[in-house]
Amino acid sequence: MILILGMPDDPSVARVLEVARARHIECVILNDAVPWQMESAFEMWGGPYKGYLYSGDLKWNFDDFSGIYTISMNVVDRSTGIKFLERRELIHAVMHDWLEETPIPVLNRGGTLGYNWSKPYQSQRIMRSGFLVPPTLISNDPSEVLAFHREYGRVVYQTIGVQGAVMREWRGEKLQDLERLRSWPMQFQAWMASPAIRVHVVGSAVFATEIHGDDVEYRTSQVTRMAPMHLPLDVSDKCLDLSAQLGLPLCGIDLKQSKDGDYYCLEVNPSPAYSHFEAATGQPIAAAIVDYLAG
Amino acid sequence: MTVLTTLIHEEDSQALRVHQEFVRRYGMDSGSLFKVELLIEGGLWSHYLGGRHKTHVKTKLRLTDGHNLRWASGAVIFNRVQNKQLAPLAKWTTQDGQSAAMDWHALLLSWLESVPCRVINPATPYGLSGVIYSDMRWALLARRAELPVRGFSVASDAGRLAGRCLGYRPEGVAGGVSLRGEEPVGGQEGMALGCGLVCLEDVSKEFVSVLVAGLNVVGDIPDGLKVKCVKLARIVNCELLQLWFAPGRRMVDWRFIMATPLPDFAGEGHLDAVVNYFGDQTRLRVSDR
Repeated sequence: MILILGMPDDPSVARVLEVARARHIECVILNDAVPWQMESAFEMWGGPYKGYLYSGDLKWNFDDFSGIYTISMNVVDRSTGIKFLERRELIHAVMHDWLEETPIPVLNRGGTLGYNWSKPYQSQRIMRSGFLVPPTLISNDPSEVLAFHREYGRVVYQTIGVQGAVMREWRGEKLQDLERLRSWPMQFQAWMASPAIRVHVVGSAVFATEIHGDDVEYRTSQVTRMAPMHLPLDVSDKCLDLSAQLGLPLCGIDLKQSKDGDYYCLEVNPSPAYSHFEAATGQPIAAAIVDYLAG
Repeated sequence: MTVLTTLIHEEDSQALRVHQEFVRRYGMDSGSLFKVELLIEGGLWSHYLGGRHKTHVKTKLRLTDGHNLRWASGAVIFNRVQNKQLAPLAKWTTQDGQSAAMDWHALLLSWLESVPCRVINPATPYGLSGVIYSDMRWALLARRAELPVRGFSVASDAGRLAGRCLGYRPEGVAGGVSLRGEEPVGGQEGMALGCGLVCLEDVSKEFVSVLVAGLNVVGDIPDGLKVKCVKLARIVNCELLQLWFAPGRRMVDWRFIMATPLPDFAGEGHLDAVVNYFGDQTRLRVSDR
């Protein structure tokens, strides 16, 4: 039995439900949108801890679940009323702390999402897994930024924190804006013109997709074509190593291949919206998630 | 010869005392103090990484006085940087200030990860000088370290626990479940069905504070618990950790209450212990003065 923390109309959740249903695997959904339908209790008095979920007359022991899929754990909709909001926050808080301790397979534990809260911190982790990272500068010094731009020619920029702003090309036309950097450091990165590669890792399964678009940021651009691709074995192994090192058995890894054949890693998404890629390529990503969670 | 750099926020008088005692004992040149706010307000940062060199990370950090901040590999940073609103960003509009704070947090995290010397405690995404866990998570971690933990129940609906024990409001649930039992629930309102409730084992309210500094444990607790305190500190990857216990007559009656990677050094012998620890880590002797 799989526990899903998310909303059933989320496309990623919907696909997992669809696959699980076809295989007659039971799923329990802790739906953020209707917190009044669920209750939880957790206790620890000397011995092992015990946790329970309730919905109406139904009751589940936390250990009844073979795997847990978490998505959209932090949606806040105050229209549900403060009582239910508190209830949901309390359920989330309990689940969050329990998920960090339980040996049950989880995609993904909340404690691993923090790697994505600092792009340069994540890049250091990426480099340790053996991937190259494009030349990168985080700076509040306009002269260093100008020198970096001169050295690499085409440069993209983005903020580096948890808010995850999209990448844009910096053409150097607004030099006065650089003064604003003094209070607000920004990341500048050498642009690689090759097609983007999105790799989804699910446990030991690797799905690579080549993306052809017309902009520096495929997530906001007009993607013209997505196609499944085969990665060299050593690159595929590096993706698995990176996923393991970050404690993210489910992740979306963004790669690019340089003209001389090296693979560079741009970033790792700990909560990938995989369904878009699955629909475009036919890769069985939801099935791999269900396999991982069904035990 | 500066070997210990203390990185603090302006109002951190506890860490300031550690710095002052360290330089008093080992000499004025042995320690330096940097306020994080100054690094942000007056510092010029350039943090390079990536390219053809797989492990290449380089940071240039120049202060307004022209001083370049850098460390030798044998140095130690006493890290007290916290995830908090930074004073230099207070002049910004709320939204910009919050966004800028998140980006500064991201840069400080990456920088502290990359410095070529030891950082005590190491930076993490969930706490720039050690992870700040919820009380419930600390309880689960303490259990893993085999410490006796204060019994608790928490339920999203008081009806699941009503009448079983003294109940408390689960304060601050957004930051995790609090198990400190500061506000007992009274009357019908607090016990209303649909509201969350925490039940706690009844223990002494006079908590005993313990400091872990590496393998040293300072505090008036049974010896059998000390090794488990070190085990907990290792689990959370903190060389400095403060723990609180509710005392009992026998060792089995003691209860772990909570812990923090940001000790206050207020307990008896705590200041001495941490200064000695930094002296050991930097291989200084008092005679080096």
